[in-house]
Amino acid sequence: MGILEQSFALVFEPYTLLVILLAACFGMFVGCIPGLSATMATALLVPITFFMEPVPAIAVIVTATAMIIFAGDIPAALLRMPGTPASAAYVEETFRMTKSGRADDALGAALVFSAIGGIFGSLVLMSVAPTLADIALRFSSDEYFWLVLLGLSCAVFVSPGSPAKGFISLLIGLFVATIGMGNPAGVPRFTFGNVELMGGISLIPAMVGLFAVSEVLRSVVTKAPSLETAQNVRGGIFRTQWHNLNVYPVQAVRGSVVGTLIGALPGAGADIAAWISYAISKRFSKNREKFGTGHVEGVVEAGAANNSAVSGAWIPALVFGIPGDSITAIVIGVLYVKGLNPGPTIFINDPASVYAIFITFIVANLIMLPLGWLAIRCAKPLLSVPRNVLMPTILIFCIVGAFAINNTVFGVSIMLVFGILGFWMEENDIPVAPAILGLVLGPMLEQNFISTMIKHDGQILGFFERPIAAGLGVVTIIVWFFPLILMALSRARGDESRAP
Amino acid sequence: MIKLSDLHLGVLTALLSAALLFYSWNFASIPGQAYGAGTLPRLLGYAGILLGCIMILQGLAGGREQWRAHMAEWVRSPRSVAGVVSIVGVIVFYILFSAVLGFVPTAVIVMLIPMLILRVNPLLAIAVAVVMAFVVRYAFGQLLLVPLPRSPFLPILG
Repeated sequence: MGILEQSFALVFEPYTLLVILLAACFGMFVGCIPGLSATMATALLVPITFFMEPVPAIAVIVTATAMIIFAGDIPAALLRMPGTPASAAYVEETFRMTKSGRADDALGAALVFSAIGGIFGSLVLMSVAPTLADIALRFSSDEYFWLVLLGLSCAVFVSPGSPAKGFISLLIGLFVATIGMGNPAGVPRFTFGNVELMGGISLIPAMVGLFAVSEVLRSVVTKAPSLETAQNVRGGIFRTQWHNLNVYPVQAVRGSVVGTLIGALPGAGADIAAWISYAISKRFSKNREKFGTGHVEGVVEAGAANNSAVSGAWIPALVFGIPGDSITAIVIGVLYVKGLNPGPTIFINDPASVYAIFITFIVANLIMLPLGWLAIRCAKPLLSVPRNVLMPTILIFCIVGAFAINNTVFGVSIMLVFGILGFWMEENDIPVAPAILGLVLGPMLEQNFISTMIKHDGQILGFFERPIAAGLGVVTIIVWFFPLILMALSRARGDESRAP
Repeated sequence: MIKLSDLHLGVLTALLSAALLFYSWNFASIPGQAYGAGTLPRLLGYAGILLGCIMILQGLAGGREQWRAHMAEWVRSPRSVAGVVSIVGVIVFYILFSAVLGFVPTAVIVMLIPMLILRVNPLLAIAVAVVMAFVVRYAFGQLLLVPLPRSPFLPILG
């Protein structure tokens, strides 16, 4: 049997299809509940995936996240409350469409163009990842060091809020990654005599804390949404989509391309992709004045962007082991547990599983159409689930999930500490994503930095000796000084305009 | 929860980074090399001190407002504070007592207390907490074989 046949066999076996269906239903439910994010859902799914074969385990996460990003549009359109941050960019647009009696058009566009964006991103992932992996096979510690540093730098500068706060978050993540004995000298660091800390901070309890427990804490200090405007959508949601596709083909393609590229950028996920695509759509639209009044054009472009970003984020995650967003940061942990160690060699060691993951992306985005239709038709009961019942229930799943990683309550303690930390960070406008990337990439950064230093006898210029490493190094340094370059340019422009 | 200004965050970052630098100063190196366990933590310490100083300077330029720390809006609502305390409290309770009480009784308490504080109808809260405790026990304990703590005096409840 060829590799592709093996991959199809892995995906289209009844068990995998069943878990894909269940994950899709779970994703639809989570996306419909404002306050539950795709990252939180992924963190909650991880303990369950531990008990599955590699392909179904990854299929669960792929399917659930694709669904959640679309389903976040449902409360956004009906309640003006984005189910996930990825729907926030065009919430005003979809809500105004609902108010003017076009909820079916708004949600239909969100659904169909999410699926188009998701499939586009998956096709790019399928075609680009193996080629990139071929190139990455020639990488040594020099290239990996710069690649990791570039990823971390991007995470700081593209995260919401000030770069200084993004940098604080990154330092927190990198510091946590140094805890334990996994370091070049193999000595205990920051363990304070605690035996359980010798192995380092487990990634999954930390993620469950940062994303799920902090979300539970946030939910008890924010008001529940009012369901006054919620209504069941009666019209045919697909009726107007052929027309939208004919009128806005450029927007659909542009949103998908921009979304995939932004998704592939470490630290930038679906939410940033949606904001940027919405801005691009407005900038190049012939009907710019209609934006914000219930115009579907921005929904088409940003809706395609946020779902294509989900697939795009997997490109650096699979090829280099560098997460494209916080969801793939968690996924990398799952891949390691499942023996599918991310990196270029995964395409040589286990190509059938990799192609099975690719096929899962396509399947997930296709079943999004019927399930999305169902979720839209049943929107009101889904939105009515009381948060004060739901959140304590989620808490017990968090506790069991954190416990199940090492079967000790130490995991629950880690979860609690990181839950409080995540809550404090969000309260102080410190983005969480750079901390996650620091936590995941810290060991890789340290290992490649020390190896390269030893290799070049401590000569910093040695980091630029190999051509690709030099290119990556220069790009990284440009990213560091990008805000200063922008500031200097805008000042120069200001001087020019003041000149007589 | 106190919301810190850039000035406060700068001071906090600089102090913690200085502590990190101090603590990691004597970490062992790889034998025969100048680099080792302390290299990355020391670099993080230097970077943190530099960042802290930049934030302090930015904060000082921001005027008197930067000296004030603000309480978060939700701290004024007793129910929100009780909600946060209850969530943290029940997790601590689970850490301390799950091994003694067993999973099901602890899980019921973990769900029930926040629900009651968040004003869920008591009967509904009890029903949801009990049913979910058994569902989670069955799903994770029986199907996924997670060794959830068993109660020595309530063997049936597990």
